[in-house]
Amino acid sequence: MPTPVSFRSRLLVVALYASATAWSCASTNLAPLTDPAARLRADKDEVRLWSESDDLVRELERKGMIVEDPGLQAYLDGVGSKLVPPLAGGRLRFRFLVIRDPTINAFALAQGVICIHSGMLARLENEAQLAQVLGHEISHTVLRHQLRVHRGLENREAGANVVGAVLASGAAVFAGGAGADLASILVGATYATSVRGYGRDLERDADRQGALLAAGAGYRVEEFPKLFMALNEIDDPGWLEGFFYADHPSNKSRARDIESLIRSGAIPSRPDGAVHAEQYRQATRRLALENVELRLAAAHYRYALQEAEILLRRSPGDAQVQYLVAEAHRRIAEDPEGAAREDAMRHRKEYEDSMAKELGQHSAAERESARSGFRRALELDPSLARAHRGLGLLASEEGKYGEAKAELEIYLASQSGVEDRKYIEEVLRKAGP
Amino acid sequence: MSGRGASSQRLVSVGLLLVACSGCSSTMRKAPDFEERRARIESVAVMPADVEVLEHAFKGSGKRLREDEEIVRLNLVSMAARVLSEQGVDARKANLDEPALKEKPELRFKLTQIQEAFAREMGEAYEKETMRRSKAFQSRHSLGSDVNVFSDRAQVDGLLFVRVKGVRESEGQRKFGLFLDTLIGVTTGAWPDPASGEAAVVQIGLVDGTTGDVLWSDMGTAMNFDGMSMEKTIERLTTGMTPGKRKVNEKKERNQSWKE
Repeated sequence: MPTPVSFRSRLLVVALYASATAWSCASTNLAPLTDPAARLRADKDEVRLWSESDDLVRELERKGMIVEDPGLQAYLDGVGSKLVPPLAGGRLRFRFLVIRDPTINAFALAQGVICIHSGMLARLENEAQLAQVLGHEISHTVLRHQLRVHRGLENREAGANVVGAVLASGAAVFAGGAGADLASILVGATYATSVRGYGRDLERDADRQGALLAAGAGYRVEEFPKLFMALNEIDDPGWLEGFFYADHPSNKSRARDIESLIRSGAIPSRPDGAVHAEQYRQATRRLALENVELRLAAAHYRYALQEAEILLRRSPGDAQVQYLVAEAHRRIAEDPEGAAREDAMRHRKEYEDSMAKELGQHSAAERESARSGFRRALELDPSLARAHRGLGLLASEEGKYGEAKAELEIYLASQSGVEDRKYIEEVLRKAGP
Repeated sequence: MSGRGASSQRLVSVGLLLVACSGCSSTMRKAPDFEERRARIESVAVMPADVEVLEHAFKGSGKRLREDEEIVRLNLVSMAARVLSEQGVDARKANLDEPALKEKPELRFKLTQIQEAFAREMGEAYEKETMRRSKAFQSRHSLGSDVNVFSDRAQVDGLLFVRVKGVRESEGQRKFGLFLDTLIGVTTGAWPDPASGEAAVVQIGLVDGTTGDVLWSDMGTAMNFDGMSMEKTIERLTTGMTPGKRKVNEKKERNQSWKE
């Protein structure tokens, strides 16, 4: 057992080590990659940050999280390459990756990799808004914000570690189970600096620089404030949303800032600039549908429903979108606990069983919305086998086994590569002969 | 009754209560119809382990130790399959290692999704680590029909998921800890215990390959990442999951450290 240590002794040790670490703090005043006069020689920590960023990309590849769609990639590269300042592009090789993640986020890594979540792409309305997002992220890397924040964190942690260790009274760091320690350090340093945001001042800086880059590339700057309003279209962004929300100034405030910069002429107005809404929708349509499926797989049923409804407003005659709206309703009815947990997270409440019970009372209405949605999808496209699956599962949940059997058999017969055949056959078995 | 007698009686009562309480709470979770459904699971595939090992360093924490992760990941699947086989289960690897996933980005992502679904369900099941048995053995969690892809591929009835979250102190942190212990000892005369330097939380779950329901799960701590410690943890955790008795055979060679 560790022996108790007096408070005075702890203070003495804290004082000793705090003074010993103070001089070791690294500089956070860094020249941008676009400074022609600066002699940029990477220090050890910057090289390490690049290496950790490469590790992160490899991890994303290992998990299959990078979208491999040549058409979409070519489109993204085309937009991104117009935004990279030539001097910065000569110093770092910029790459643009789409990450399969339904949360609304984008992030820049120190070595020049710009990642945009499928959730963000699904949320944007046109290419001008995409240019603003990419410009914002490129600016973080050009201004070397990752290294700046990384050094700031290290300087702080060096001191904090001493205090933490002493206050732990010399007890074994992992004594009593590793769970508590794990919780505090689950996120790696590279990920933390690149994804969690950089603080409000640096974010505003990146907004402004990003807008200048996008304006310079010929995009209509009046679209940029609308970007932040589009991000607000999904109500009550809780912690489920990416950190594009979390550590940034509020979207309304960011929209106001950009508007005032345009009014003052700091960002040159371009009312006739490029918007390219249709090209954008065509390039990202498949991804937007896949994103709703990602939401469903992650048990984000309400988000899935909202996103599918937004898509449906844009394309009311799209059978696939209609199917996704119906499927989101079906999943809410099927899994009231999951839906209640999502509601609790979105509203930053603690989950309680009573929430699921309350939602369960509305299951019949959700099923009805799902049923009419699946039928509408089949009217739009009679070959949409998954709508039969939905109708069959709804009927099964309601004990209408004859109807369930008829619908599920259509589903099984219509597709040769049904991935959930085992599950559907089990439902049919329970439904009886 | 004398005061001393009453005091002893109170102590005995408290002791009995503690024993009773420890007996009625558990880290294990079971589906309500676990026994019946386990009987239908004749074969199990061990899914690739979801492993995260982080460094706890003097200058900043949280660096992923990817080499350590890879070693644990590579060894854990074979080890879990072997432990289950020794317990009488027809166990095999799920055939989802790197060569099998090469050129199959969709399958790779589906694996990530199903591992995330397992992590999410376990997060909900283990909001409190221990739970009264009456509640813990009525656990209802499911990964849904997405498991079919994997059970079909491995031709099995059940899937075993393993998660490991580990922490290892860096050399610098360890030296700093020793130095600090010495300083505290010299200053105060009180000598703290040395730290072990690494630890991992291991979580295991048996999932029905048809419905995706989590039939059984448990979690525990391994005090380091070597083969022996991990194997013991898996043995300990899977007790109660499998119907068969452990076959005792030559384990010596397997108990060597993975790093040797």
